[in-house]
Amino acid sequence: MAEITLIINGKKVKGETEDTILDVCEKNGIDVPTLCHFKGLTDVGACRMCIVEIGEERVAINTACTTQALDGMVVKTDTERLNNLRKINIELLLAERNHFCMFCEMSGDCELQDLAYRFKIDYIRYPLLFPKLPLDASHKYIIIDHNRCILCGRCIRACDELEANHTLDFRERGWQKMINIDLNSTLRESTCTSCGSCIQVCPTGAIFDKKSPYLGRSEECEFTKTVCSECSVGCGTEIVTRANHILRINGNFDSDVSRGLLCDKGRFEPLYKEKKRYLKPMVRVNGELKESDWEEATKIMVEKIGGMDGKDIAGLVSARATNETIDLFKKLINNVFCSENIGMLHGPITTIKGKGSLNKILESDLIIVVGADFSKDHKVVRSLIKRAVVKNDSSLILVNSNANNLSSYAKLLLKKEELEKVNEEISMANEVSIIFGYKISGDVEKWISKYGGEVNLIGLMPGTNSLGAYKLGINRNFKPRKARGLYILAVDEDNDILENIIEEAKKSEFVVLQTSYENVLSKEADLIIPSMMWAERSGNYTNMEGKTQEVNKSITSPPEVKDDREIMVSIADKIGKFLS
Amino acid sequence: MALYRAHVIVSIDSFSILKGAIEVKDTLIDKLKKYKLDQEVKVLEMSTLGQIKDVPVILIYPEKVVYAPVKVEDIDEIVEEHLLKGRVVKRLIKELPWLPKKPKLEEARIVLSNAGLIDPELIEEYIANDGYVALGKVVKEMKPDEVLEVIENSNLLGRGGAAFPTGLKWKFTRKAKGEPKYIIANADESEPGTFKDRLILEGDPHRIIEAMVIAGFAVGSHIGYIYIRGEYALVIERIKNAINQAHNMGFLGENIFGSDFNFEIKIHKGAGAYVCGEETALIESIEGKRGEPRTRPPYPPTYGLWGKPTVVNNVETFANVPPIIRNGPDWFKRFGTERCSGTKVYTILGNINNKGLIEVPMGISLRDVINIYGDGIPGDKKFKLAQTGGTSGSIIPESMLDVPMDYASMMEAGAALGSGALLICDETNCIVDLLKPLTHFFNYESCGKCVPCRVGTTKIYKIIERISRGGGLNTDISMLEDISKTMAATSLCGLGQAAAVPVLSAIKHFRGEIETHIFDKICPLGVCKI
Ligand SMILES: Cc1cc2nc3c(=O)[nH]c(=O)nc-3n(C[C@H](O)[C@H](O)[C@H](O)COP(=O)(O)O)c2cc1C
Ligand code: SF4
Ligand code: SF4
Ligand code: SF4
Ligand code: SF4
Ligand code: FES
Repeated sequence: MAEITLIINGKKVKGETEDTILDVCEKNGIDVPTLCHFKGLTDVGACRMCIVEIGEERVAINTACTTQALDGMVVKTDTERLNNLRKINIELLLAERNHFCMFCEMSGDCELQDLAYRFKIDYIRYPLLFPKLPLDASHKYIIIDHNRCILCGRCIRACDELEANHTLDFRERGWQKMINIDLNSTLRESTCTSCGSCIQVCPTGAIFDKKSPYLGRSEECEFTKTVCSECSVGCGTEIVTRANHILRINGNFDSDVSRGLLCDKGRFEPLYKEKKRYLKPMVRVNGELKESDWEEATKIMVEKIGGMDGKDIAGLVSARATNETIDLFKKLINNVFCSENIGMLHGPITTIKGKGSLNKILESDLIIVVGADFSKDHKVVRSLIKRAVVKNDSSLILVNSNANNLSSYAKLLLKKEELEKVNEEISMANEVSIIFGYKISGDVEKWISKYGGEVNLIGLMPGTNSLGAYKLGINRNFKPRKARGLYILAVDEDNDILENIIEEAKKSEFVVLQTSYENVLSKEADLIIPSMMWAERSGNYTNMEGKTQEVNKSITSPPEVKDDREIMVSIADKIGKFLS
Repeated sequence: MALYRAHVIVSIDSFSILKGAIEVKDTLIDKLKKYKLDQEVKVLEMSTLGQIKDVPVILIYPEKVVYAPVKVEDIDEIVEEHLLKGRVVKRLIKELPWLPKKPKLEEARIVLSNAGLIDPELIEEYIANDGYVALGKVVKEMKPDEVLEVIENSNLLGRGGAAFPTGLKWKFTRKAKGEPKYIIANADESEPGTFKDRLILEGDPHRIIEAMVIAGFAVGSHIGYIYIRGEYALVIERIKNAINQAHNMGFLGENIFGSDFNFEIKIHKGAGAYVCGEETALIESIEGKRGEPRTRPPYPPTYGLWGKPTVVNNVETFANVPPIIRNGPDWFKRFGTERCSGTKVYTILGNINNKGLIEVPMGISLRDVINIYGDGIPGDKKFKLAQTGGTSGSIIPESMLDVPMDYASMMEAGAALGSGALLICDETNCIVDLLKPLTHFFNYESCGKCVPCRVGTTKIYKIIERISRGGGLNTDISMLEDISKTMAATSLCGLGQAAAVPVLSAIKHFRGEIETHIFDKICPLGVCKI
């Protein structure tokens, strides 16, 4: 890429050879109105808002978002003529369908409305048509209201280019043109994976989520960039909050892991969980859990567990805890309680380590998925694989994988006994990615290690911060032994992970459960210590690639819920040991 | 080969077939057998004979007598009188404008030189009329750059509407990086009132094949597509047949003329959207995507089919190529005007005596086209306006009738030749009533990709429609102007840009008549039902 110089609005500005005129304007702080443009998606030139005048003697009008910037180009972005044309086009859009802003859930957050204000449109001259168009509210999380749609196609491109799912497209032409779902299906019955990308890119109130409408406009909200705590991909999120309530989870387009993409588990599920929160410590008295206070809780903790011999104590921690919390928990168990008996709640995993990068999947001409399960977690990895196959013509081989909607993209579906067939494919490919699950058997492990150094090797992790935990020295292969005292740091872990521990808990004399919510272990717990939930925590997560990313709290925890680290420090304190 | 004393040519084009041309031909053959004339008189099937109203047409050589329209019942008389006894059947005689007894004007048939004179189903007849001579010359004697130079020097401009210099387009494509390159013949022809490409392809399919192979040789391409409007069933059949024949003769396929040059042609059927005639929408359509135009630049010569360098030319443009190669650029430049060489094929429709297809040199005035080739306006009616260039062409009043019809002069006068459709309207036509179907057409055909065209065409149609009902508002004309100008300046493709033209030119030349509809709620001609 070489530097180029353009003259925009009479000023010399710099750009690079691959830039569009719009890119150069953005780099130089020149504001050009846009509507169908969305950074990261292909530009199509549909809205004509970004028109600019190009040339000096022979002036041509063209769209800045689709026209390549050339060295020496003379461009004007803000002439009276351009603004008049823009204004008429906005007016036409406002007259096309139903844009009665006062009834729209996006009023105040709509790019079309912003433009109308910017161009001082307070009256629409053209005949209003109000075609009667449907609204699709069939989907669990998403509503599509065609009456507000301006046919910019951003949702279609997001569905196709980010999620690589192509559920959405256009149908018909001209004034009858409409967003179409599969072969004219409802969103609920469609191939939609509920990634929610379409919601996030829609500039108007045409696609929106069911949770957040009317609860707050952007200017009343706060935005916190953080990392999804739902699985080990570590997608970048942006939490939208108002008055300490979470309205929405957005993808973070600046995240170099996920580049804006999320899955339903990360975007919607956290907002739909209805669980009973523990707001105060609870102590079991005569078989019943009773509300208590911090003073009493730490006292009991020190008496019961602190009095036991180290070899009788075990600690189990959730992979949803941050590195800082896990580190401190390990020190607490090792140094304060003098026990080596510490492991992850999700149980042991294979020892083989992946050192690859997710972005490299897109550059691979051969992708091999071994023993992986995408039905609940890692769906963004699945999207990357789909994108590589659909957009970059990569070949996909699935070996023993519950690949949930990936099979139709695969060139070969193999059983693990047929692994050797893959060798030849690998020898012919240039860039290979191998993505493996955490429950693979020994011979598969051996087969993978053969390629350890040469390929882009990615190991899926069972928990959000599993890799962080291993890096902090927690044993990958730990199986809990019978313990008299069991300290479970569950944070906001899900029941399907906690279920594995019920038997251990039943066998233990005294069970401490540090958790945000009531769960399947509550019945076995003798002491419950309230813990922060995902949006209240800060610290770092290490994702499956080994990238350590900052976790930022977006809401403040209830008054009596303390930081897990603070709790551990005060326990150590009571025992008379120093923990940092 | 048998020698015949007479050739009888029957027009077998889509219009004629509808009116029983096949039956006429079969009856003729039966009758000739009955009179044992079948060894003396040869019956030939031809494409159009430049006639769409009075069909089928029968042309008898060597006398050059034309009978039209011919019905099955007339055959007895034609065979007994003309072919047996040598007496012309006066009551059936018809004059064809391009087959004058005495030439009316300079006769100029470059594009249509074969149409109607040879059997389009027989490659031999094409070859007998200099067919594939140009290809042979190109492949055996010329270098690609020399071919490019000949085409560039001939000043050939694209006949699909935009009048882009063909030589330049080929040169850009040759220079562009990327393999393979593609040649596309645009035979989508969905402009209402235009059917010249169909008649060229029905009447002389080999000419287009020859031209495409020449283009392939010149730009370094080995694959061509003919994108044919789906409704053109006969064209598709004839092109398929012609491709097979050309293959068998070694003019297509591998080692053309024994050289190491290879070229294949594939046929792609259009699905009936007007916008797919636009070259980038056409390319998207061949790629299997929604037929929506792409933003430009880059243009097809650098970024075309599958992102590779591509030549897209109109059928009529291609039709000029073999004669230019055979006769040289200077010969070609003798026809037409200085700025626009060659001829133009027009389809004349509306209030005109001689509806149909003509080929005239560039630069002839519209007045001459109407009066001489079109034989004037029927009845004692006066000329009111013409629309040149199809639905998206501008509306031309009496005062502009003497502008020379070539691309450059028309553009200077604020009009356009477009694809060559000429609609002639006499004084009984109301301007608002004329605008109604025109604006409805664009409202229906807009692909909907860009805002000004998708919404603008709808609003314009609604406004014209309410004016014609007597519901026009005082501000309607200024709204029409605002929307049209915005469409012209900001639409993504030529459809939206040109859809504004008829509206703006109608307002310019017939503003008073529109205002009477709006302000007085009267249609001065009593056409609109107010
Ligand atoms: C809406 C629209 C429809 C068009 N339809 C046709 C068509 O049917 N046939 C054609 O040859 N060109 C058509 N064109 C022009 C083509 O885009 C293109 O300019 C032409 O095929 C180039 O060939 P030429 O250089 O030989 O003229 C159309 C253009 C527009 C904007
Ligand atoms: S939620 Fe995702 S998959 Fe579903 S339609 Fe929207 S972008 Fe496509
Ligand atoms: S639904 Fe939204 S993003 Fe999709 S085309 Fe309509 S306005 Fe654009
Ligand atoms: S893939 Fe994992 S990290 Fe990414 S959004 Fe889904 S659950 Fe969250
Ligand atoms: S101008 Fe009309 S036909 Fe052309 S891209 Fe825009 S909407 Fe489609
Ligand atoms: S932002 Fe460039 S055309 Fe829409």
